Amino acid sequence: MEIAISGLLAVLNIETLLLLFGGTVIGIIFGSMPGLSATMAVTLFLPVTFGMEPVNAISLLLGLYVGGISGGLITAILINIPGTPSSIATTFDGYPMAQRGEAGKALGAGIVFSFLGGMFSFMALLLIAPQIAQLALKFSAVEYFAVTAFSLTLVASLAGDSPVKGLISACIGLMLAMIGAAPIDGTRRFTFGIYDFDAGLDLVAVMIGFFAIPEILKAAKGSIADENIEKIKVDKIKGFGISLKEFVGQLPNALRSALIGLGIGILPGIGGGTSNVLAYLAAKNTSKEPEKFGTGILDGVVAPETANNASIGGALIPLLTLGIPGDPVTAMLLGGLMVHGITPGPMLIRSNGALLYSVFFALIIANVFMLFSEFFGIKGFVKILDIKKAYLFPPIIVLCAVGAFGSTNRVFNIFAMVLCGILGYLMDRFEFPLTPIILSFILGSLVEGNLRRGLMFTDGSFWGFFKSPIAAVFLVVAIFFLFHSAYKEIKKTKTKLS
Amino acid sequence: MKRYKDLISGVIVVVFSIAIYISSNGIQRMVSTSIGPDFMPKLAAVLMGILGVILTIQGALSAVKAPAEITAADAAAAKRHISFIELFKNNLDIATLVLLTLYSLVIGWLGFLISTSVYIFLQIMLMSINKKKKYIVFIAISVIFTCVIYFLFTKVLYVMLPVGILG
Repeated sequence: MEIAISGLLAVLNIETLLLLFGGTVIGIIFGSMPGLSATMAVTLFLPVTFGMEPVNAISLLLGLYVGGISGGLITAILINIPGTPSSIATTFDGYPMAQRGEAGKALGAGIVFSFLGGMFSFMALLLIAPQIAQLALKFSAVEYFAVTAFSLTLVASLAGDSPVKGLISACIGLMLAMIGAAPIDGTRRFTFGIYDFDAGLDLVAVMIGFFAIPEILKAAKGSIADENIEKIKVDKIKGFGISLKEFVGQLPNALRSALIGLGIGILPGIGGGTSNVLAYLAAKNTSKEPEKFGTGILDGVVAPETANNASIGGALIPLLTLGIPGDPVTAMLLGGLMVHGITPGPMLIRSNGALLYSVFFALIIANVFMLFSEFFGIKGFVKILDIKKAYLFPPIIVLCAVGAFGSTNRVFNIFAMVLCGILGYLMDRFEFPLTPIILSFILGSLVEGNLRRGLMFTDGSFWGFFKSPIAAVFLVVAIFFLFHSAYKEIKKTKTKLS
Repeated sequence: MKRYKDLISGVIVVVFSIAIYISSNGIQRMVSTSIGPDFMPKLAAVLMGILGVILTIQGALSAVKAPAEITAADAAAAKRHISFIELFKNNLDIATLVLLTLYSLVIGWLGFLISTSVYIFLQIMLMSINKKKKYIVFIAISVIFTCVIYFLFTKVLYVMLPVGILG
């Protein structure tokens, strides 16, 4: 209880609350702008946090996260373009509703259920995280290796359409992580005799390179066709937009979607971008009137919007307890925490338990800010969409460069960011998923270090890893996933040929 | 081009993984443990090589199977003379990359203020290539934004930025 109160007090001061509010509003703007996402928001504001107190830094980033995931529904409903991948499914029914003149109802329901989905997952975070951390405290290198290897295979096979490409992406990330000094003995690898490579590639620079630069290049290519977008007008939403009866009727749907969102969030590598579509499909498949989906039905807005916000709390669970990010945004958050010398993992919750509560309360406050600013500021957010891309993106690129430079104060980081950006853009053009690269880049040295340390425990025997029950379970599931992906690929090739 | 995507990337991946494997042999082992610093690179290279072969086979199969109808349109497009300006407009992404690479190379030497204002100006020009060019607005945005960011980061947030020849 004492820890909870000190965690709350750390957040309850004017400065932190202002940062939370600002973060949430800016996050919503980023979320609602097509081409900008929650990941981009967190990426760009990372350098802003370098000089802050850790709690303030985390609060700002969490505000951006919550706002960024929630803002996507505005554009999804009003212009039929999802502001972020997290709101793809919201367009399916949200836009038809808006066309029918029910924009206020769609927005209202979307905002209310985003809020509820978020609250649900934050409660889950508070309940589940300490348990997992408790368990993870008993982990030795053997178990750690198994868990990280498991997350890597899961990410690779889930992130894209093709598991083979996902796994190749993961391998590339591993190789990028190997540049510089090796774990344990510090041998220099793949430095090509260049002094700048000795310290390895900077995490923040690599993440910005792979996440932000390809998006910017796509926007540059698309700027030639950048025209004014047709928007459906919306005035102030009356009340909550939906009646109490409609609200109660949606609760089972919301609960199912929240559980899907939470579960998808916990799985490494996938987050709101996947969960909103899955929740929509689940709602459609269990509905008594599936044919109405796509024509503008309330269920079709509630399901994706509940699920994407529910993924936030889910994605934070593996990040805070194991140091394994659950999606691209939490990968950036991890980078932000590490700049402040905070390494998430089981030790964090034990040694700095108040931080977990600070995160929890920051999320709840950000969620409340999101609810109010979206309800009262909807007109303003819609107006911001008019800003020309040509004026918006160049400054964004510069902020990326500042972020890359600022994390370790090296000009070389900017160059590394551009290199990663080129590689990322090429891979994107060839339809390789980028999330596995980042995750395996982050987890690469953990995997290798724990494998080598684990082998010292087991006297060099790989079978020794299977003697630990926890490690054995994770390794078996990882191997199962590998075979399952291989099977899926073979089946796909066969259907292609026949 | 589209139908050869997987085939091309598969071959590149295979070649790359062989190169990594060979260069891993040059990694020195400092302490004798059961697996040295060369183990993971080799493992990753072998894994990637196998995956690359699978991707190549898949790519080859789908390239053979894919209908050839697209090629007619491709051929027509290739025959049409494309002016340099048009080529440039169609490849704004590559132009942005070139600009960005130059920016990353000169920022250490020219410093943040000069290189950033020039870069933002050029990038705005690039992205409004089809529109009316309001040079004064462009210059104003580039200079004001650069200065705001510079002072915000160095004076308020205490993040150092490269000063270059101005320092």
